[in-house]
Amino acid sequence: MNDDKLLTLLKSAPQKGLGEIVAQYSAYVYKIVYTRLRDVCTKEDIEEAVSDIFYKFYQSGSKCGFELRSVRAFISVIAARHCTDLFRTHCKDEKLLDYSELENLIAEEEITDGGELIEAVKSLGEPDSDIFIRKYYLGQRNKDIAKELGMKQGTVNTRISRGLVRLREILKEGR
Amino acid sequence: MDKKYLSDMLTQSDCEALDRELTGFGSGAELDDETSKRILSSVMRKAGFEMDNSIMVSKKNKRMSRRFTVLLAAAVIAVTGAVGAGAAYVYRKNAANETYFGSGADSKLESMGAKSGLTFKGKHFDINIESVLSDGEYLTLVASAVPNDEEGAKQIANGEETYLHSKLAERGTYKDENGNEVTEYAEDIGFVYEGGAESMRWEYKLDTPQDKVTIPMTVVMGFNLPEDNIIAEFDITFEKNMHSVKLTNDKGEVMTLFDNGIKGCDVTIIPKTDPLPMREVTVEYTDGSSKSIEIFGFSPYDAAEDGHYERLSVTFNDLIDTSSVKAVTIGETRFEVGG
Repeated sequence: MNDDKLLTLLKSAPQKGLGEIVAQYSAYVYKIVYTRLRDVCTKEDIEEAVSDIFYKFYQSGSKCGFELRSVRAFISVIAARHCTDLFRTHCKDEKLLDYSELENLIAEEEITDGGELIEAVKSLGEPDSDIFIRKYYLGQRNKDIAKELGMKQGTVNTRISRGLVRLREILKEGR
Repeated sequence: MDKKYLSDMLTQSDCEALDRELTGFGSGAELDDETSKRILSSVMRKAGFEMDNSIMVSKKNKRMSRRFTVLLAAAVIAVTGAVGAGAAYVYRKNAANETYFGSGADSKLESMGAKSGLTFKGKHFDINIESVLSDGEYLTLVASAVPNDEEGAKQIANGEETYLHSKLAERGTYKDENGNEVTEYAEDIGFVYEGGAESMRWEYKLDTPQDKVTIPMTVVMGFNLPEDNIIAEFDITFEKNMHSVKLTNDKGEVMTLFDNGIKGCDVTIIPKTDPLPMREVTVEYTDGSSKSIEIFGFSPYDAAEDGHYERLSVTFNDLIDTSSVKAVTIGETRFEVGG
């Protein structure tokens, strides 16, 4: 069932629609949560977080009458923010709570518009945009990115370091 | 410049541009059946849907907006319609007041003179009027429909739903693009099934404010409105019994807070960061405390793209002590008392 049909079902029959959304997206959301929180949460915590994310989706979606353009985009934003909140709560290692290289770059270049950043990341092209979103937005480790994208880890490392330099240039040029 | 986590920075529309990357991340993700079932069960419980084998029974407030269609309603009933019949019911007195205004609402309603003890005996149901509120313009009625015979108990256990309605709220019909007849209603309704009875809430805005007004009401079974679906008909008199206070934002725009809502004309509301939450109301009190308020109705239903509303009203699933309020924030726009 595509997103349009899921949203239509949610509007006309909320419980059935929510059931379909969970059935269709639970593996995706579980992967986001597991990727981000596996070092700081138990399996039970992860399941609870997945459940909370769907509940937040339902609550927030209800407030706007499920007038959404994309279920995946909406649920991804909720999942990423929920994971960040939980990571802050559970993580005892201050180093891990520090901002990433990309977040430091964003601050240095005074980027406040997410759209501008996404446009710049997309302009890196494939597979760099995939690598950047997986690493910096979804928290995937370099070795796991390499495995899933069929690359050597060294290649991923190199693409990230070169990509950061290019990204800074792109953002500067855009000013 | 302050640093932000990327997850706090990106919005829903940003992520829409990442569809290919996000889909790629999710491709191949799998979950075993047991984990999937546990998650589904947990989500449904949190959302207020009780799962009974393959059948889900709604116990949540199934509010319809001011503008709803008969077709949509029929779909809702079709989904919730098949549950075991003949269930025993236990109804707590004044439970509907608590459902719509929170625990401890009774004493506040009592002090406002808004509690009611009226009961109307209808077809298969007793209609207990629990509270009647008015600020002179916005009317709120909370009532319960309690089965008074086996047929009523059977109907409600089978997922049939009762709701409060006034013919005054019917704004006519039109044909949609598929040629289906759509009826528009200028009323907000809520109905929650609990303990074998239905807790109902009805809201209506008077075209012309009146300190005292009598409204003809009906309680109807289901959304379709043939004559034989009417359970009870009665008149309810609304007398102004809510307190209010004026609030102002930094543009000088004024809203009026009353016990169960806030209203204003020509106001601008900056929505809170997309996508969470779409609409949010927080009340700050003079003692320094604050409370996030659950919203019952938001009119107009569709958010204004430029944030400007010729007329805006938000009603609450709560009762506010207006005399101890310091400020109210809707979305990211703060209105201060006397500000």
